[in-house]
Amino acid sequence: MASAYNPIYTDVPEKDVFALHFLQTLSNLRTQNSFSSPDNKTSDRVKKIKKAAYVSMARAAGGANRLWSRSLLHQAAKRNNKNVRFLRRKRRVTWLMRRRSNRGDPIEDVAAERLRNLVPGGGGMETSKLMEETAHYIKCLSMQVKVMQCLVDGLSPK
Amino acid sequence: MLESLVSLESMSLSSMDVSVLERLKWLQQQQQVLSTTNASPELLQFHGTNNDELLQNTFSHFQMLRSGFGPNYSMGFGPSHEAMDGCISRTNSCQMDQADTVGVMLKNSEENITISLKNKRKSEVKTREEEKTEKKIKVEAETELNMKARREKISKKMKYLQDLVPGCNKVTGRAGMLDEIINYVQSLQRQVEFLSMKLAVLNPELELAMEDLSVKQFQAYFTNLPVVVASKPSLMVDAPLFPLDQQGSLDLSVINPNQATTIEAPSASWETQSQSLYNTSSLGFQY
Repeated sequence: MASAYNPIYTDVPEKDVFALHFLQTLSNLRTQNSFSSPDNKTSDRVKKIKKAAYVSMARAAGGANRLWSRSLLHQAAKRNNKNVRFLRRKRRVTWLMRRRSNRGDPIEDVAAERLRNLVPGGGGMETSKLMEETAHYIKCLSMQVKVMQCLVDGLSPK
Repeated sequence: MLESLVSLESMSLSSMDVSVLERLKWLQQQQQVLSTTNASPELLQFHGTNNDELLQNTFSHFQMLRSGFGPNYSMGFGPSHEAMDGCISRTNSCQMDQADTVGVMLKNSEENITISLKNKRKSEVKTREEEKTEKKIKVEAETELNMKARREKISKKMKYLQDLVPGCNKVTGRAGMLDEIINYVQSLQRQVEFLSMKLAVLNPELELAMEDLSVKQFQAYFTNLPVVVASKPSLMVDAPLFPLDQQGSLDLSVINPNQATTIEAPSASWETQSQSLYNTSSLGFQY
């Protein structure tokens, strides 16, 4: 699958990068919650692992280079009440202006809205940019899924 | 009496009723004729003799005249009076009209001025509106071009997404495509959640040996690397099935020796990368 169609850069790093990042986040999780009670297993742990997966994916995909990854990390930092580095207020003004000028077909807009809700950080993007981000997001998601599948299969008892 | 009549007639300013005056004049002539023929002796008699008979004669004459031209007289007088009054009224009205006209003229001038001003404003407004419409037309044309460019971009990207998303070739049209893409993204996200749940179940069993775990996990991904780096079919695609209980050295033994070189390089990179990742703190986000 060459980038002939899309001259815009949507390359995704290799799987190992994803794996590394994911493992790192998982280990961080373990270091943080090594002494936590194993009773609250299911929901909290699931949530934490899910978060770790997304964050690691965002980091692996290029950190702050992509809008969706940036917004993901932003959200994660907000939840943790940590100092958020990627504050960009100028962006908000521009995205408001872009939204006003973003008048596409009504058929497209409905589906585009759904996409925006799905892809993180999709609220402040034009439809074309949204497409790029979804492409990259899909690639990264598929990679992350593969990594996690490998891990699960590796860890699962035989 | 006739003189009085004449005086009355003269008094009438009726320039309108010329016919009545003419009639009256004719009457006067007739009367004069009559008077010269008959009246003079009567007048003489009047002056000289009894007044009563003269008066009666004059009265009878008057009555005759009056009867003869009674209706005309009455007509003449009536309308003359009316005419007089009408004339007066007319003149008055004319005067009034003149005044009115003057006022109207003034008003008209004022109105003209205001009208001219309004026209100027209207013209100005019209020019502004014209300019606005022109600008609108230009802007509309520009927006149409922009829309076309945007649509082209979006269609390009949709094609790219079509290649990405499996099973998108069948569905045509933007809406269907977008729905497919949305479904795919949702399925991927659900997979992530599912796998995280699985991991959460599996993890507590392996929480004790943290460091070993990391090494083992790395080694578990060793098998994944050849899938990414090399494309030899002899390699196991289902690398995760590889047992983890064994030590790391066994991993290499299973894999083809041909691949050893390829694996070693990534292993070195693995170690370096892992070390770097572990040593260096993250970008400020910790879990």
